[in-house]
Amino acid sequence: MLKSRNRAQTALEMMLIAGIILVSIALVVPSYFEENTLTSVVAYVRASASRACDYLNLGVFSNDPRYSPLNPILETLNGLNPNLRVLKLETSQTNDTITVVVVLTTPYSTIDNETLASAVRSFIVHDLNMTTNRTLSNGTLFYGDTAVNIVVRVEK
Amino acid sequence: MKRAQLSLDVLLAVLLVMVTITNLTYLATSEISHSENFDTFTKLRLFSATLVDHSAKVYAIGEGYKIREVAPDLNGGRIGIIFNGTTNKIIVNATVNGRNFWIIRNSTVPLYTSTLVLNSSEEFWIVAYYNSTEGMLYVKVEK
Repeated sequence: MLKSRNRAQTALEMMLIAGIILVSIALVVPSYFEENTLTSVVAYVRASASRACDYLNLGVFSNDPRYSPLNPILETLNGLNPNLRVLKLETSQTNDTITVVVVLTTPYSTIDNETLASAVRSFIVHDLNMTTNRTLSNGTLFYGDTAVNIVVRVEK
Repeated sequence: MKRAQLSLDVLLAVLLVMVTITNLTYLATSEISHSENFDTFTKLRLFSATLVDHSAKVYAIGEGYKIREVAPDLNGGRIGIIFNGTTNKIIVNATVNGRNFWIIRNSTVPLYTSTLVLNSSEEFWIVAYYNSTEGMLYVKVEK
């Protein structure tokens, strides 16, 4: 009698502990995935932005469709090395949107900031769309339900 | 009971670690095709800089002087060199695995219009060429 009650108590304790563990899993996993999304998005954008800078700095044209947004810029540079580099990355997250601000810097004042920024932005968007599972709609990247907003600025 | 609890914890930890690892692997694999491209970019860039530099040297030394050059190894790709005398530009283009790459450089010395198509690691010459009808010294490429 005593033995079977003991066993029942053990089973209850186990259910309680299992319940606690399951609840903690339910709490931890979604927030972990959310954090992971933000981290990987930032990593991809960073890698993509520095590729764009490398491409423009080297000055070698390619007919690879991934680089086609950057080719008009390369033509206007006319052999000049723009010495572009990624200065900083800023991220902010509201409910359904992640905004990543990429700041590039170049010492040349003759380069048109606006066209350069929009070309690099369209390169990053297409690059992420092609190499990752982000979907593209109306020029905005979507990762599941989360919109990823990419803003590129060029500073002197 | 003890063992079951441990395995649940471990499973959770393994899941989280796996998610991170998958992400990193994905980033790394997408990086491979880009780095193959950049390998070609840097080789072409270097080669075009060598051409500009050596054609200036050949011109400085004068008529009849030649420098032997070796085309870079582009994993079986073919390289075309165009010296454009009218715009005075050196154009190097390459075809590697069906993709085209090209670079346009301004030359500091007058060029004689000449073109070459080379295989990887093939040799060619940069020659100072004196045009006696014009009385001008030019630089051209030949095999």
